[in-house]
Amino acid sequence: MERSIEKTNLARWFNYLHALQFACSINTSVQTMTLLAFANAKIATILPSNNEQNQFILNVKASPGFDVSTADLTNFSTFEALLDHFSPLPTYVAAYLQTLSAGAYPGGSLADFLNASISGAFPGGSAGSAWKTALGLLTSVIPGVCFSQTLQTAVAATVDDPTKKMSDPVNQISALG
Amino acid sequence: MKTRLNKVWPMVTISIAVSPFWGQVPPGAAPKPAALSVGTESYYRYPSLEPAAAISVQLADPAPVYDLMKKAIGSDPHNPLWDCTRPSSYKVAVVSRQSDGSLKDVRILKITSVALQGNDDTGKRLRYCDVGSPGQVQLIFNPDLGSKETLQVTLVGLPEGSAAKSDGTLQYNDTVLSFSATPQAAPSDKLRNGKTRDTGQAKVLFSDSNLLSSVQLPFNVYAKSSDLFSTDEKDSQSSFSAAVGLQRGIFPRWFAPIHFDETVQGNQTATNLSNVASLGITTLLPWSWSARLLYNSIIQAPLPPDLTIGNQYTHRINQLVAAGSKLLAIDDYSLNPVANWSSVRFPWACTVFGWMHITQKGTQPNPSKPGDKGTQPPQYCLGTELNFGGYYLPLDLTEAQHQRVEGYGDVSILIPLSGLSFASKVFPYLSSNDPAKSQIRIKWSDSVNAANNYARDRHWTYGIELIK
Repeated sequence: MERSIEKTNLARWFNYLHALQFACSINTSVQTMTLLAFANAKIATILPSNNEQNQFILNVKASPGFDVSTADLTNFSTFEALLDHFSPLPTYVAAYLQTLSAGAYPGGSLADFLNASISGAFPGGSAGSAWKTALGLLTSVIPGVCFSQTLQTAVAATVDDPTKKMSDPVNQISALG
Repeated sequence: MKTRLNKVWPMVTISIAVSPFWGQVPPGAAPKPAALSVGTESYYRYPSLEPAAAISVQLADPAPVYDLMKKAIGSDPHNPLWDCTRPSSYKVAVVSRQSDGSLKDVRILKITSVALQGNDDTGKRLRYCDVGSPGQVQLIFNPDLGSKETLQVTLVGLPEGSAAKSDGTLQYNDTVLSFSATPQAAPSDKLRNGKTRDTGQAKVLFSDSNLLSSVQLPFNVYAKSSDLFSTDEKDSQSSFSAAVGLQRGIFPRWFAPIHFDETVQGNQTATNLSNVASLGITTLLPWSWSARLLYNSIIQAPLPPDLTIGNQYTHRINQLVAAGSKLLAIDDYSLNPVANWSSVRFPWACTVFGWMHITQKGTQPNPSKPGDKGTQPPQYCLGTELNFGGYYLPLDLTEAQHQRVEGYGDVSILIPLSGLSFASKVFPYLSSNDPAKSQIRIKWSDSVNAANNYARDRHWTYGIELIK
């Protein structure tokens, strides 16, 4: 079962990340960065001066529409951390995975889903049909550069680990890579 | 103005342990509230530059709050059971902790508006809440708070069986109005008559960053004062300075704040007294055009220079100068444009340094050594920083009766220690592959000192900088 709001929220997070990158275009080195490199870039390196930070704050207010303070730019070291403060990626990854999980989980609470064993939510592990479907849909929403084959393989290993909970692959995917 | 805008406005984010309870509420029992994650935000509205204070409330995190929002919004987000956009849907209370650990409301703060964070897919600011969207709302309020007062945020009007509140430890440390008076002893203090004696001093600081907060104006009006009063009127340290000014941005989408302020300053008996009028602007040059020209394999200058232009008119009413010293001009004017350009790098330098065998090369991970991740090649090996400025002094004539102009500037050559192979042996911590951690600076400067009649000084400086 797939509900559109969860997919929309996840897709919108990456749209917001694109918008943040565009808001940094005063720094010409950002124009050639991949989305992943930008997500992990240090804010203090990309926007070192007071004027640059304030110009970024102005740009971000217009798009993606956040009211950022100068303190946010020092409290959060990377652009991904800054975006997570306004729009939490782990929640959106978890909520979307929940809609794709098996059993009663899609209709239950997100807190319960995060505490669930992976084998309960996705029977058969990474080879199971539920996870294969989920992975296919995740890769259709998350840009390839942020969810590489290497990360997919690492997540599959977690999904096959019977000791892990759903919060583990969620955090792994949310770290991007 | 730059100092004002540089001011760090603290943000406190409080993460609250997620309650494991999530289930049916027994009949008659109050629902266990979901723990809200809240923080404070302080910023300037642009272009008016009025300070604004907000409490950020996370509506998509942690998971119990996300679950609660599903219930609160219901099946139709356009017609929700609980409306996240209304100030009346929230309560922000100053609370005090009771002896039994419970919290009691001391007073309720007025929320003037709710700002949903994020745009919708059409590029317009979100206008309603759906599950998980927005992730955060900001409650705009008037921060009339004591420094130790704590706040609790509660969601009001949730469907029956639902509750959410923060843990009541949120503090808002920034205030629009500040005042401090610090008494201090000054043993053997120097007096203006050349003698010394023990004196008592009071250091008084006052600032109001939004002087006319009750009136909606298209600009920000501020006042500030910094004084040092002494028990001896001849104390050479005694001083006062009181300023009133206004500031606003010029362009709605480009950061270019302009300020004008009027300052009266002197010593405590006003035997030294002057009036200073300042007009200034700071901004950046549009820079995206420069990508091909200034971001390539020869030079990488990804950021534009910072530009600041200051104008200062000084009228000296009273002057008290040391015996033998010349009186300063009664009227002085200076125009002071300044440009600072940092973050300029030369990518070819790593190749040249490589030929000279002084640059570290990156290494591949060694498969025979578990955990060996190899080392990255240096990000850059040579950079430069340029600072230029000038003073135009039309009321200050030279001996040839020309208006005075003084230019100044400095050029620095920057070599990150992380790029040098010998440094990794001598300073292994300082030279880890982070060019922002430490660097060699070789600087030539030609400076003028405005406080000392624009005396000129040229010199070289060499050193290793440690950067926090």
